[in-house]
Formats: sequence, structure tokens, C-alpha cells
Amino acid sequence: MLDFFGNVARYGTFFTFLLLEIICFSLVVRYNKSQQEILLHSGNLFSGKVLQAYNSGTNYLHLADVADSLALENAILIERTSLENDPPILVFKDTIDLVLDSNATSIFEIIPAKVINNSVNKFHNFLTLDKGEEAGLEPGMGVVTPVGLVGIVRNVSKHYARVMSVLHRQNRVSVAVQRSGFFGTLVWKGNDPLTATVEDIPKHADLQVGDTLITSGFSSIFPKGLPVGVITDFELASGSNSYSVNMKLGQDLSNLKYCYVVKNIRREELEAIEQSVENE
Amino acid sequence: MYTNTAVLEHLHLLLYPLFIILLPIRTPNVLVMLLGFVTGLTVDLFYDSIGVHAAAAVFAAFIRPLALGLFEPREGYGVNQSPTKKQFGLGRFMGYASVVMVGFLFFYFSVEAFTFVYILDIFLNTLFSFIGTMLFVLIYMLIFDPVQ
Repeated sequence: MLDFFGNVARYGTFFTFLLLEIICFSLVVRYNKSQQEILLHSGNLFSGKVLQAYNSGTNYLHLADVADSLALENAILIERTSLENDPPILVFKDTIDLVLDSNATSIFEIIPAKVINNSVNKFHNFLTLDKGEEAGLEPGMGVVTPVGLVGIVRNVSKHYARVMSVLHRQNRVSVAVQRSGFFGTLVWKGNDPLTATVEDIPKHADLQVGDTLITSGFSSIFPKGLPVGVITDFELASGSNSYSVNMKLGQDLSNLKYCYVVKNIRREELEAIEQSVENE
Repeated sequence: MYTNTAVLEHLHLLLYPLFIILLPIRTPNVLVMLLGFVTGLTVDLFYDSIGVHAAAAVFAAFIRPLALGLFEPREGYGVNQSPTKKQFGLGRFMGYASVVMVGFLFFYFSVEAFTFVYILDIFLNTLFSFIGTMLFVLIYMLIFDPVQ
């Protein structure tokens, strides 16, 4: 008998110790209330922490999907509110040259897109979007965010689109002062990606620093009433007939991730009729 | 006054580990642990703390060979030697018993608290109980195991 124990002792003293301690601890937590509570409590703390860490990790993995679905949802909501509310985020109803059809459906379609390439530090800046022909994009569509302009689609491939940024020296967008309605042309002189200039606002116009600038809607590209930015200062050069207005762009393009492509479903018709008069 | 009650609060006299301490040196370690387990469990039945004393007693049995190794004389232990005051001498016996007892008490109070949040209390309990218990161990050995 002692010989048997001796053999066990040679190989398994430590394991016997562990076994007995495991038995003891299971007895402790089984029959002792305070220890049991401590174990359950710290067990919960531990599993809670682990679960939390796991969740935050997996959440991060799914962020891209979440953002995509949110962008889509936003697009649907903006389309809906632009029909119901007045003044909505995107005002279509009171435009003169972009009328709603009789069924009161929006003549603008909004397609969410993700920016996959961007530049702001050149004279001619372009963006690349992850949507193309397949999603219904065509050259000449406007690209916006809820707080400002992004640019105009120039080229499309099957899955991608090249957008001429607002920060492009040849970009011209018609903008208007929201308060008074005077309109001018937004140009970018190629220095600061946060600011732009508005030209051709007549010298009798009523301007104030802090006035909001919106899209004028005088084209088939951007609907009327989209926010563009805020006037920071303006001056009237001697002998000039129009103000030179400096403005702060509403959308900082240097950290842009998601944007909306605006599709005017009546664009061809509109351009055709405008062209026909011009050609006369 | 406060100090006195505080000391009494931390004082737990636990003499039964003496059984593990006094088992013959050549008792197999596994058997010592099993005996410790049974002893601890028996004490637990009366304290209504199933498993706490048993865990500590098993731990005391586990560190017993280490303590014996610490106080082993140069010529090694005899065949039928027991770790008693008579055979070890008072100083060596008390040193050996102290190591096992400190291990036992620290493990016991840790399992009783079941968390190291109150580590200071565990240390104080161990310290005061150790002093008190070793005093009674000494008295016990002087009465039942006197030098011939």
C-alpha cells in the first residue's frame, strides 16, 4: 500500500495537490454563500469585460457595412423629406425650372457613394467614387453632402466614377445668397481647400458677412437650395460692377468619406429645350 | 483599546494543522495530502465552511516536504524520524512548524476572503493568527513532547 503511494508520490504529488484543491474549491463555491457570490460576481465582471472587448472588436469589423447601410438610409430619407417638408433639406418644390411632375415624385434621384480617392492640394482636384454606370451614374451629375458641394461627375466606368472636385480651377457652380436671392458663380482660385470665391454678384446686392450660400438651381446639375457655405468677407473693387466674395465651404473635402450623387431624371429634356432656344 | 480589539478581530487560533506537521517524515506526500484533506473537511463540518479548511490543509500538506527540506540536517533524516521538538530540537522544530503554519494560515485566509481585494486584512489575519497559534504550538509541544 505504502509502495503504491510512493509511486504515486514520485509522479503525481503536484497533480494530486491540484486535484484535491480543485475538489476543495468546488466544495467552497458550492456550499459557501459569500465565496459563491464573489465568484459569480467576478465571473460576471470577467465575462462582461471579455464580451465587451469582443463586441467592440467585431463592431469595428462591421463598421463599413453599417456606414454603407446608413448612407443608403440617409439617401432614402432625404428623398422623402424633400417631398414632404417645406423647407426640406433639399428644396425642389419651389424651383421654377425644375418642376415636380404631376405625381409629386422627386425629379432628383439620390445615390449614396463612397469616396475611394481624393485630392485637395492640387490646382485641378479630382475624386473617385465607388459607384459607376451600374449604379446609374452619368457624366454631368452633381455630387453633394448634406452640408456642402463636392463636385460634378466627369467620367464613369462600370463601377467607378471620376468627379471633378469643387476644388478645381475650371469648376463653375451657380450659387445664390439664401437671404436675398442674389446669385453669382462659385470659383476656386487654387489655394485653400476650405475657402472659395464667389464672383459676379452685382454691386447693388445686399450682402452680409455670415450669409449662407445655397445652390441657385440654375442648372440641371444641382437642385436648388443645397447648402454651399458661408460668406466670410467681400469687397467691391473700385470700378467693378460686381462683388468679390470670399466664402468658407460647408463641406471640408479633405476628410470626405461619403457623399451623394444627385441624378436629375429630366436632365436631357431640360438641356434639349435650353439648347434649342440658344441655337436659334 | 482600539488596537486591542483590532488585534483580537484578526486572531484565529487554528491548532489542528499540527497533525499534518507532526506526521512521520517518511509518510508519502500524497498520503499526507489526503489526510490533510480529510482533517480539513472534518473541521469544515463543524465550522460550516465546507472546503475552506480542507483547501488550506491540503496546501499545508503540499508545502510540508518543502519545509522539511529547508530544515533537513546535513546527514539527512533518519528512517523512522518524526518532525517533533524532541527529535528536531526546539529551534529547528519551531522554524519548520512556522513555515508550514504561515503557508496554511495565508492560504486559509485567502480562501476565506476568496478575493485579494482585502489583501491587507489577509496579511493582518495571517500575522496575528500566526503569532497566537505558534504560542499554543509551543505550549503543546512543551506539555506533550517534553525533552527527556
